[in-house]
Amino acid sequence: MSDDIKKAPRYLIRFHGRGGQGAVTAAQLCAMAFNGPATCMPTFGAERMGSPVASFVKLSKDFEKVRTNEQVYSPQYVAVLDDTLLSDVDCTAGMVPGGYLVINTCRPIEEVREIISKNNPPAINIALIDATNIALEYLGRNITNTLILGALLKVAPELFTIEQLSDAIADQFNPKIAQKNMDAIKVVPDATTVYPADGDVKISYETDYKKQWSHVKPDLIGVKEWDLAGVWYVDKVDGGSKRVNTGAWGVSVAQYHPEYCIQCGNCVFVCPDFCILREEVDGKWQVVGVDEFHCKGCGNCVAVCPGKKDKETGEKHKALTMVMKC
Amino acid sequence: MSVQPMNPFFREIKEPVELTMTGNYAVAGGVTQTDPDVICAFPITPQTQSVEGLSDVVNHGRLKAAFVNVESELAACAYSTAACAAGARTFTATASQGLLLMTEALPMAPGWRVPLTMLISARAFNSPNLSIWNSWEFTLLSSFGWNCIVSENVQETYDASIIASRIAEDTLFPTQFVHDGFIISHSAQKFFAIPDEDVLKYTPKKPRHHVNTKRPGTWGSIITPDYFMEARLALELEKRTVLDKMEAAFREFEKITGRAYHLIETYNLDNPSKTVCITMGSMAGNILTWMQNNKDIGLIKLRAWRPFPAEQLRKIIEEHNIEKIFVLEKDDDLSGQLPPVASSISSSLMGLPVILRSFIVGLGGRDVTKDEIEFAAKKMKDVKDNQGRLYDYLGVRESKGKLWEAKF
Repeated sequence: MSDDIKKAPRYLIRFHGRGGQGAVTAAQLCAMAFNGPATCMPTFGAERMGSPVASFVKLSKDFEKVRTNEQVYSPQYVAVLDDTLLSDVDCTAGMVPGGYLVINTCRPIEEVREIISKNNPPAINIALIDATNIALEYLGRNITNTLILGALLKVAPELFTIEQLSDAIADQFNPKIAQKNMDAIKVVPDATTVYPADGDVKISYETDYKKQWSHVKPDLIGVKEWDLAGVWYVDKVDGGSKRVNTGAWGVSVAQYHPEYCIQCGNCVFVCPDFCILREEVDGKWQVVGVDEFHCKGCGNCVAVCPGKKDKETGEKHKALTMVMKC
Repeated sequence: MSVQPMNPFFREIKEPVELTMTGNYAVAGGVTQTDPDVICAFPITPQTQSVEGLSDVVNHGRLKAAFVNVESELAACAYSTAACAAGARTFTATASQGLLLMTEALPMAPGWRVPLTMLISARAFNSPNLSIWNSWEFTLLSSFGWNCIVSENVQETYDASIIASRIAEDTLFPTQFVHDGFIISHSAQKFFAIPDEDVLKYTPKKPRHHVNTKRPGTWGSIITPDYFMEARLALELEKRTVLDKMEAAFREFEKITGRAYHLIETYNLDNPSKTVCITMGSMAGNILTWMQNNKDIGLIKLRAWRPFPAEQLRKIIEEHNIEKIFVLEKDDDLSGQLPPVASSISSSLMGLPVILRSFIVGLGGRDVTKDEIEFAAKKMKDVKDNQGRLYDYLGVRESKGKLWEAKF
């Protein structure tokens, strides 16, 4: 192996997105566009539409440097597809000082800085791009994964060229969608604003800023606190659906109208998220409402609701209806 | 569908070409090139995208094969075995619980000597709770006479999908090839695809025994005590020739592609501490990257898992005067003895003056990082004999804020 290759830097990139936004595809496009050995992988979680996900990319001319199948803990570049993630997830964790944080947002830089400052990030450069609006204009829907790559191109021209990225997109998508994406990407670099870090920080491609054993997540309960039978008792395991606002993922929500409810209980059984609230009245369980924090708006309950005739008009009304959230 | 992962395999591959695909789709591509006659799999979780990719190429018309969806994993294994017995080149795939559900039909294929090939995406079993992520629980079910090779990255798993077909037909034993679930199955990596022509030359369809009306016989019937042991020993004797045939298949593959594989692959064995780490699968890559800056230990990577290359391993350890071995493995069997990989290793090395320990890491999809490798290598320096318990868990929380310390 030549010495040049041994000296080749290793670029590490992390994407944060929500299930369905295409963070995994973005990572794959990076790997395809790079001229040399490249690997990428998603985080391993429950990939439901809307849940926070991440994906990782490793690029280097030296195969041995990217041979590892570890996740990326110490990225030089982080791209965030959805700015609501900034407050949910520590997007700057392990970032290399002097690295670039690229965010799809329409918020001003001061607000972004304030949100991320609670995680004490190192001195990093921040690039902001309102990719959602460009996506709506060019693609007709809010899929920003290819556009964020355009912004990445602006801050990290050493990774790949716009031609290489276009080739990767042409390989990956069907021709019609590929063309739309390529047209959109062209306007991205000019629409991206870069806010440099304070002071002259030199970026390192060698040093690893991973906190030792961070991947084992020492703050969670351990073997000693684990319950017999391996059950996830909610009083012990910090997690479960209680704290996850899945209701924020949907565009509509079920609304309950007690006057038309015959208490058949059909809705209780079809709800995939146990969102039909019940109370025990005189020894009988009665439907009393909808848990809006968790209702994703699938509409199953509305479909099975038999409803009840209105006494005055004789018209039939359902006890559950879908209403759009604005 | 806006994303078309199987695109590169919709047309003939004429030159060696660099592609970027996930492990699952790369396998689907490799299997496509071997021109199977029957692809049969249960299409629902825990199935992998490899069969989805194959359904794409069959639907596209690129591959003229019977693509059969069945109603259960057991049916998939039984159907594939029977199709293969009928003379068809057959591929199936499964993972984790799916392999468990297939168990009843697994011993049949080696018994009939049919060259079925199967992809296993290595994922955990349901205990104590469902984990769909990476673990090597397949090691608990690898004793039915299937050949089994394990891959480190997408290139290796793509190559394995082609080599497995050759090994199966050369040895007339069904052959599994394994890649780490999620870590390789869902990782997109760059790899070089082989021209179709070369693949077909490497995996020619040779005449073999099959269900045949001209030569009636009973397949899957009853066998009395008068014959059963003879039939088993006949299998064993044939099994003893498998490793040589595997090695030959690897050599032949190297001639075509330049990519050299061996039953056992070794790195930096003549190191100052006379210590080696033995592992297989994707973790080998993690260790090799770490070893770029740490030349103190060596690595032995097992590519062949069944039959276990015991003699070859013994020879390597003896020749290089290895004194200490530590195994990193992603399986535990709660048996009170060494976990499966270390068990196989220790029984191959019986009587040799080596010190052996096994670290159980990365169960259920936990990442294995340089922290684990560093700890294990350091810990081995203090180990002086083979007394006491020989294995422990690594990278686990003992309690909030405190890590479990591996004690030997």
